[in-house]
Amino acid sequence: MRILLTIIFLFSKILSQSIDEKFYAGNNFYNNSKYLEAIEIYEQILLKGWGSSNLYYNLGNAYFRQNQIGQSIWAYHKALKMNPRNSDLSYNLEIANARIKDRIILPDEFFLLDLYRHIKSRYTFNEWLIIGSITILFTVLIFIVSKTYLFNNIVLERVIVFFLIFVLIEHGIILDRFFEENDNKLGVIIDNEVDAYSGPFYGDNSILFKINEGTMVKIGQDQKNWLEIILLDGNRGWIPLEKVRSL
Amino acid sequence: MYCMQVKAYVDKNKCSINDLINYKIELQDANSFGDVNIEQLSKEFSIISGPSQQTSMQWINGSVTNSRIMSWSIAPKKAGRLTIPALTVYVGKKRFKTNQIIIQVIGSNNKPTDINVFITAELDKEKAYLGEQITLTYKIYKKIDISIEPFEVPEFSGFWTEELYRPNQIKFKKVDLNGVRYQVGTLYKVALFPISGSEYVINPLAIKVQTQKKRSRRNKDPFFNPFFDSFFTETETKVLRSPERKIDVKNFPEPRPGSFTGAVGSFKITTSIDRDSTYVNEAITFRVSVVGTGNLGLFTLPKFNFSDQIDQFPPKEDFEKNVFRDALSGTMSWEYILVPRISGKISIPPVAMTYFDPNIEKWKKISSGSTIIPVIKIKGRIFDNSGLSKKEVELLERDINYISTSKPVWTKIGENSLSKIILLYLVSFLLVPVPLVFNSILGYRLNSETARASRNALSNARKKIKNTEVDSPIPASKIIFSYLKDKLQLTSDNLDPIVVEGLLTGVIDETLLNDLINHLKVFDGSYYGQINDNNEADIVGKTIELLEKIERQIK
Repeated sequence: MRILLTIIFLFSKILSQSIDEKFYAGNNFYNNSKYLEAIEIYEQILLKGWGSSNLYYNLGNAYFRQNQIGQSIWAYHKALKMNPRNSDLSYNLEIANARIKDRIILPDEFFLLDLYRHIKSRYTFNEWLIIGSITILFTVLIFIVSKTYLFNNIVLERVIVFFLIFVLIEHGIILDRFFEENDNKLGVIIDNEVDAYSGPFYGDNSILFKINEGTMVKIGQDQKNWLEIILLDGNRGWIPLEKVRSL
Repeated sequence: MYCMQVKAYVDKNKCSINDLINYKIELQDANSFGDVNIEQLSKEFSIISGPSQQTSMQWINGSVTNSRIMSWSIAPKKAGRLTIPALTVYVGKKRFKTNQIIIQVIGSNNKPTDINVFITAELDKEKAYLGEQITLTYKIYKKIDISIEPFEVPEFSGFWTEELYRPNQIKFKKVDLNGVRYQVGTLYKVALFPISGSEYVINPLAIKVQTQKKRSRRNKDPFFNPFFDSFFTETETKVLRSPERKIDVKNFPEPRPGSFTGAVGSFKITTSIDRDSTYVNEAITFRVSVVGTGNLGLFTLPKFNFSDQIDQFPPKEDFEKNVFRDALSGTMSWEYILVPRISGKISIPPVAMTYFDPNIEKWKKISSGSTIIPVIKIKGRIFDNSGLSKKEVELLERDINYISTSKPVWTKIGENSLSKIILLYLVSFLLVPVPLVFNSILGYRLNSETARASRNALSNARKKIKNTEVDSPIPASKIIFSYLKDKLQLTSDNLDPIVVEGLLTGVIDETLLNDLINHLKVFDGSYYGQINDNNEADIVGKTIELLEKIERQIK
């Protein structure tokens, strides 16, 4: 009985460990090359409902060391969503991406479109909202100042028009991001040699293609334990639910 | 008008067996050279060279005749009455027949007619199995100086040939033949491999040689002494022909083994791999080599299968022959690229083949040892580098950056902390009506355009007075009215003294008001009636004084 109590006590203590401590414990495991344990701890924190770009980044590294490229790419993407301007993160993601087996090569896009995408993904959705709201606030303040007639109103009017255009562009981007994040559910394949079937069950369905871990896919409809995936090049197929981890 | 004619003729009807005959077909008024199947001649003649083509034109009595001539050098194959048959010539869609020509050839058929120079065709065997090598050597024997013209080798139909020796410069050695000293040189040596069983006739080799003709001594002319002889020797062109040879091709003894794929000779088989071990998904080269003497290059390996755990690519075939041997020998190799898909020990069964050894006239079966490839499972990366860009290959070599150890900022997953942002938006939108609300509450136009004008009313009025032209009367009342309009923020400066009185009563004190009204009235009079035109300085002074007083009183 006593032993049981102590075990329960210890267990609860582990559970009540602050998230920070857990995180550092995970880092310790990582440093001692115990990647599996590190992954377990990091995943526990995620299960508890807490996330952070550092956590996802470390989780990605641990998966990478375990040679689970799909999972590591998933974690890096998660981290990048929270902290899009971390150079370590994009570097590691690039290395992990180089190890993806399936290569879907798309034609080069028009450079302006590329530039737009680059700018768009440089800030998180919330950061974009903050930038947008601050510029609106600023515009309103300038408007108020102009109403005092303390300064030359012609100049102020031009500044206001400039800011309004800026605000419009920002909110266009925000709207784009909003639809992108709500309409496109993305996922990463986390297993090798996944057969994509023409329908959501084994049986008479034919295997359309094989897909390997690390590939980013759009997630279409779902059917009891099955997901429809759409590849970047437009190919569609059904794969079992557990083969994808959605972003 | 074409009147086409075809004629055939020769330069001589009588000749010796060693002479060349020039055979010509002339087409008159043809617009192109025709097609002739000259092979019909080859029964009794051999074609030494040709056809050479030649065109000529003639003008006779104003009409043009053109003729095209095709000519061949032919040599008789035997002595006697030989016939050049009538040949069919096709010119465009028309058909013509040439005339038949009969030629008398003097000489004997059997022994070489010329003992000074002749060719032999030597076979190392006259009976051979299918695929067995027969070496054919053409040699030239000579006692006199000759020069050999470039020659063409006859076709060996029914054989696969492998050229063994064909010198640019024929080397001669001394040899005694039946007590006669000759010089002998090899013209051509070829390995023949019969590809189907039957009896074959080897076509003779015909070559053209030029010999120096000994002239009968002429008179003892001082000019034609032996010293000058060398300048005046004549050359004679002769055709030498080797004797025809026959080859009998034997069939293999039955029963023929199933694994026989055509190899005849004597061989050894070996296998090798390029590395001792390999990794999963990493290619390894498996090489099967057949070394030996025989019809290498004429047979394939019997098909053999690798296990299912190996991906296999079609083999690369390679043949290295040893050129300086009379018998065709060398190494044939097949390189298979194998990619093992699972780890463990993969064994490749022995490669076996059967060949026929013509020396002992027996079937022989040979096989290599079996090969075992240890396949190591790699813990690291499993991928192939195909389709990677240079940058990606470079990335593969690198390692990831170290984990982040800084204290994380935690956010609840699934919660969007939008409240602060929404607040910012709300604040911004609430601030928009602030100036309007402010104005309406205070009733005070926060420094509007009119307020600014009101502030500057006095200085504006002063400016106006200053800017008035010296000679013209000062529109004093107008200046005062516009000052009042600016100051009191009125909509119009269309005023008169009575309105001004009404506006300013209670705003400024009565004495000042009366002064102003009087001034306005006096001024009106002076303005319209031109009464006091010498009082300008006074009017200006009085106006400014009045305005300054009003300015002080209106706040």
